[in-house]
Amino acid sequence: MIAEKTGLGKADSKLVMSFMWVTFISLLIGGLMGLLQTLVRTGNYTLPFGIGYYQILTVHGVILGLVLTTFFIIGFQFSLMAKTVGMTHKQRQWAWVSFWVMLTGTIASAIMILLGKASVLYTFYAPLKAHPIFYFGLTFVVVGSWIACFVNFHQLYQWKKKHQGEHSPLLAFMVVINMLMWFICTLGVAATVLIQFIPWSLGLVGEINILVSRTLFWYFGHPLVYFWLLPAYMAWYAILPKIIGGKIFSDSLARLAFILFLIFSIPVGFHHQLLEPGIDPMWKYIQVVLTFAVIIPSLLTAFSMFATFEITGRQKGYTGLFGWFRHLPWKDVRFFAPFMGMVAFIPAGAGGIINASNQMNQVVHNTIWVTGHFHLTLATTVILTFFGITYWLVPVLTGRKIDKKINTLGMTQTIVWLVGMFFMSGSMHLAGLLGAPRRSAFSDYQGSAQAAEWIGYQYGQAIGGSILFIGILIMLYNFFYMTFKAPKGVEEFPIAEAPDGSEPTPLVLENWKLWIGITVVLIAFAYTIPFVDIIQNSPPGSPPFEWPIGNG
Amino acid sequence: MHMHKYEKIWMASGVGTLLVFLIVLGIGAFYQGTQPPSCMVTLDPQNVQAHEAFKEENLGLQQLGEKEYTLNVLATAFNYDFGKDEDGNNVKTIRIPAGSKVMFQATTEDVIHGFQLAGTNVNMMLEPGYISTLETTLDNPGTYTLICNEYCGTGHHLMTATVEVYEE
Amino acid sequence: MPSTNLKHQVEQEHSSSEPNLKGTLISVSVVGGFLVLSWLAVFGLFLAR
Repeated sequence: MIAEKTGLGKADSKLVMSFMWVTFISLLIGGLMGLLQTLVRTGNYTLPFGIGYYQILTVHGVILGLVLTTFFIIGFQFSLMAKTVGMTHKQRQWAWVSFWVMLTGTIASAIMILLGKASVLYTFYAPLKAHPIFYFGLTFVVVGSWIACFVNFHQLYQWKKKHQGEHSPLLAFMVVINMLMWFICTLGVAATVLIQFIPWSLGLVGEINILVSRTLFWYFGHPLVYFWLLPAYMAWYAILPKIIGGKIFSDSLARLAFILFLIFSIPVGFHHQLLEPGIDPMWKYIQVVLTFAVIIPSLLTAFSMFATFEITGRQKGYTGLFGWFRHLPWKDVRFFAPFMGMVAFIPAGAGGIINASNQMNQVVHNTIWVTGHFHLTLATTVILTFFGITYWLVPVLTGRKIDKKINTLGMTQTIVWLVGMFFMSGSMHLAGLLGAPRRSAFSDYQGSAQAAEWIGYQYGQAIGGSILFIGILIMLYNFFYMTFKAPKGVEEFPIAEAPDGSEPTPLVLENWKLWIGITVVLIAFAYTIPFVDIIQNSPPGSPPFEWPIGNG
Repeated sequence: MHMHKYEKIWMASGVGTLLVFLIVLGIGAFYQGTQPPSCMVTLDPQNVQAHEAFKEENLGLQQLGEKEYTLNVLATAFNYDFGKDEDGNNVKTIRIPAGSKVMFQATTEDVIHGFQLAGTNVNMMLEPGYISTLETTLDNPGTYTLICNEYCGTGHHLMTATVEVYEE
Repeated sequence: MPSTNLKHQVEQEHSSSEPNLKGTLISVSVVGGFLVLSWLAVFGLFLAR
């Protein structure tokens, strides 16, 4: 019965719930580390038991940036695929394999970090050397996610075979785009870890090529952030319209935006390396231009969102220039949390354009402004949308209903989050403009007057961080409540439809060979010459350094 | 594919604005010489002293002419080496007259470091095997803190020095 | 009656092919304005330093 109405069978639900469990346990651990970091940075708090600041910073980045995101996204995407194109028994078995491979990798890396053998932060820049098991663990996480990629590809492939000539369902299309992007970009990080880091950390080779490893990392590092963002966009384009009682603005434009993300997300890694030696500034600028191209699908999305709201409002009879704004279900957390995520994406996007602006990067690079920036993108826009999804997805999976209590708690949680982030990210942005660095434990910089100016903002971050941690505790309670206590019933899996009589989606949008081809060509254009240049002009490599992170 | 008239207006003005940003940045970078630091010179990270600029005696502030300086810096975890003063003590503060043109020239002997003069546009990455350079005119007098802004190990936040820009 | 029905229908068709999106245009313009102002502010900081 439940399976019929929600479209998710028991077996699928169990699978997706496993991913959700890892997500929310990660949220607690990672969030606690974040709280401790902001407290240390006030200068009034010392970590107990000889725990190092950079150790908890590594936990925070790895567990929230890599583990929480990947598990939630892959779990959520499995639910979307099972719902829209179905999942066979065999596919589900492979999905479980992906879950266990990823979890094994996560635990292996986590143990190394907790033992203090891998305080290298989530970017693990060489020649700082972590324990080899740390790199093996990360490899497992990536390989596990590849299994999920191929399960998703196979799901859509089978559906297409049965539905010749039909368009794939919008959400399935979006999932496959995201996983294609993920697969293509993780090839870079897999290459650096398998070919460079692992042999070097095992002592099989003596030296590592620094700039090659960083370039491969950032080939992966920027599409990584779009891998986080696209599932939020899936919810905005194809789920929110249903929640507000409307239709999708345009199926074609939604697909077009996702294709543009696939094409432009990857050949842009140099905008993270703008201030690095050894890279031709001409190629930096070319990748800056490509980075600006990836803003275009977000401009499309901004229009589509407002248009969805306005059209739905006007259909409900709300007139006037902004009358439609009042119709929105402000008291429904499934709408409110993602909507506030969208609002946060306005300053987040503004900051992103600034960061990518070639020489302007000198103002903000590696200052805490950057930390403020991705706490708006990932830790507000993306995570509030994920929370918004959780409020219907978990009840769907557990066969329960979202009740008044959880809706109220969810609304409260969203507001607590926004207030906390206003203080924390706001202080980070301002302190960053004054020059305060990111990734640094408390320091008065030998009594520097400039550093004294930053301390007020560091208190601002601690206040924000504490409020955010309360938000995390509320969210965890919400998760437990929806898993175990909410009233039994059938909750809707909201999927919006295209408007009646809308023109058919052009077939070219589903020409996978064409779009993958363009993606590969653009990557080859943006990277081949500078990468060959980097290799040909390489200095001698670097031996491993363990003592700076407190080992050896 | 149908696009609403207003959406066309929005996309055209949005893309137009991005193009204006890119042109402004491009003119600054390619015609006015404000490229982000992208020095292409390499050296052996395990023998940086082989390079003239990083020999013990050449570290620190070198005057090239009237209000024209080079500052050679060797970074190691967790220190910026500016060489020694006449008494043989490590230099920790650099004094430069306001309005000077300064070429910052630095490298690292061990891991990745940052090189940021807080409150200025002097901000670059130091990577083993590469020399990083950045030329700027220090117009605004004040005491600036040089900080390592890329994680380099347990003492990363203690890696600092001072640059004083004084009025003559 | 039939004629008004028809007219109504025509109007509806018209509105579904090109819906009224004035509020959307103004909203995205405000967003765009914010992006430009923030960029100019930091560009100013870059020039001043």
